[in-house]
Amino acid sequence: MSMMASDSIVSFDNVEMRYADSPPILRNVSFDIPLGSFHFLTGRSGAGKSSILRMMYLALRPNRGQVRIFGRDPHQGNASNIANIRRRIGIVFQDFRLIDHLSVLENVALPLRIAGERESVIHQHVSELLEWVGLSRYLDARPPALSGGQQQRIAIARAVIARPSLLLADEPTGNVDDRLADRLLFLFEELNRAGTTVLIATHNETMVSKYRHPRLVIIGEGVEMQYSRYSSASNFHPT
Amino acid sequence: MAGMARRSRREFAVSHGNTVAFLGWTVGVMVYLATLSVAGALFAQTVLDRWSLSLAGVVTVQVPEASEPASRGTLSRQDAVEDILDKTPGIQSHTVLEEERTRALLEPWLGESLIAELPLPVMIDVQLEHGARVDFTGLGERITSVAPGSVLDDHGLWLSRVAATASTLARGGWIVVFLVGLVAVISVIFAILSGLTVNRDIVELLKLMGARDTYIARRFQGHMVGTTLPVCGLGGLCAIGTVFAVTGFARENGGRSEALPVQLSPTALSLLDWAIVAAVPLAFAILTVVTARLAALYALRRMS
Ligand SMILES: Nc1ncnc2c1ncn2[C@@H]1O[C@H](COP(=O)(O)OP(=O)(O)OP(=O)(O)O)[C@@H](O)[C@H]1O
Ligand SMILES: [Mg+2]
Repeated sequence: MSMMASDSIVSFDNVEMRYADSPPILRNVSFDIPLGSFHFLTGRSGAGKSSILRMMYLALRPNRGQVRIFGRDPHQGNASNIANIRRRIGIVFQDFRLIDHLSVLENVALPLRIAGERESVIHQHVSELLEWVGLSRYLDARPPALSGGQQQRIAIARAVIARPSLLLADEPTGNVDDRLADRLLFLFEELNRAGTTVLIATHNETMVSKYRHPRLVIIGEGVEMQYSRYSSASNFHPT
Repeated sequence: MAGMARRSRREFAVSHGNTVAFLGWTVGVMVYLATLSVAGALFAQTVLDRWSLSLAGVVTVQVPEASEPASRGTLSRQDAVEDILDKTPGIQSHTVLEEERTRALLEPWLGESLIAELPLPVMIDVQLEHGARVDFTGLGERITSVAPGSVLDDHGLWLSRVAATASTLARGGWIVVFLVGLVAVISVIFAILSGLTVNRDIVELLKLMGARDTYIARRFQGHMVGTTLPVCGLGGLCAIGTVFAVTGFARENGGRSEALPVQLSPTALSLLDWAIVAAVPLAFAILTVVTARLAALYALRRMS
């Protein structure tokens, strides 16, 4: 990780964000997400969780302040700089954003295709992962023919298939039952153990309290970092 | 496994829906027109070249009742006329056509029965020296003074009209190719832009996943090129088929082409000409691919 200027993978510095002419939804937001950590991002519906993630995957720019990703200002340099950063980020969109006319296998394969991976590797990795999330029977199905929970698992598989350095998951367990939610959380933790920094936006309080990872809480227009008393030491990174 | 790989590589092309099917038809028709125009232009050019070569400087004199004595002197009308031709500066040589040839030449115009009844005039082909300027009015007067009723047929005027028509045809053919190419480029740009607009969500998604513009452009081209390339080949083949059909038809009904120095047949075109004709669909294929790529890259750069 030679491009790291610090051991923060994401850092917000006095960020202010608003949509068009409406008043700011976030003001004076500052926090750091350390490399290799696992965080939840919580807050009431409409608080700005998705907006924060959008700034992290560079779909939105803050109106004030600075967002640094991998220790750098992503908007400095050319367009291929942004593409390079995005390739290291896995995103689970709240609305999935699957491509309807592609098969499940092709949807999940997208990040590997973009990375220029070999065809044989792609097929093997994708079918293994889809088996893991319980969708091996649906490799050739089209997303519109699947249930909400199944589509969500495809979206998750696509986000993690290329082993990103940073995983941003927006409400990734919103459409699945508790048992499946646990299984997906286990997948995220496995990924985290293997080195991926994980940030999960959710308003599922049960899950948040069950897993005891530190959380970023949006309160009003600000963000507060809260550490669970029982969170494991390895995830505890005071700044 | 290889089959699987090929299938999935093809599978990830962004769908343009009906736009591409429509574009396929458009490009196919345009390639057909362009190929046909080029073939036409080359035919016109060939005809023009050969005509100028073989007919330049040819003048015909028709002498009716040629064996009668001339108005002046002791010679027959034919000999008197030949004598005048011999003495006219700028005339290289002259040849008296055999009766057979004259008959053949006139038959289509007069009909078989009439030919048999009519006393045939003697026809003399006159070869001019290269670049010579002969006073045809004066020559004509001198000839009719010894052989009344003779006709001096100067092909020059007629030829220059034919030449003008042929070169207009040739030039027109190339203009058609240029215009059709322009329309093809515009159609491809339109198809790519509307494809990108329709698939805006997918483009945005690919960008968020870190795909570069060149990668996305290739996905968009993929589908289009897969449609337009075969269509270009098909349009070109149809055009060449049309050329053969038309020239074959012309030859079957071409009793009168005796007067033409060029047979209107596929072999009238040189191998190089045919190569140029065959290059038209290829050029269109390259044109659509390059245009699609540049249009996609330009639009993608503006979308981010
Ligand atoms: N594209 C947009 N244009 C204008 N306003 C927007 C847009 N997206 C979100 N907002 C507004 O910004 C605020 C934050 O929205 P955001 O989607 O970030 O909330 P959230 O915390 O993700 O909510 P939820 O839990 O319901 O997903 C909301 O008030 C919302 O109406
Ligand atoms: Mg949201």
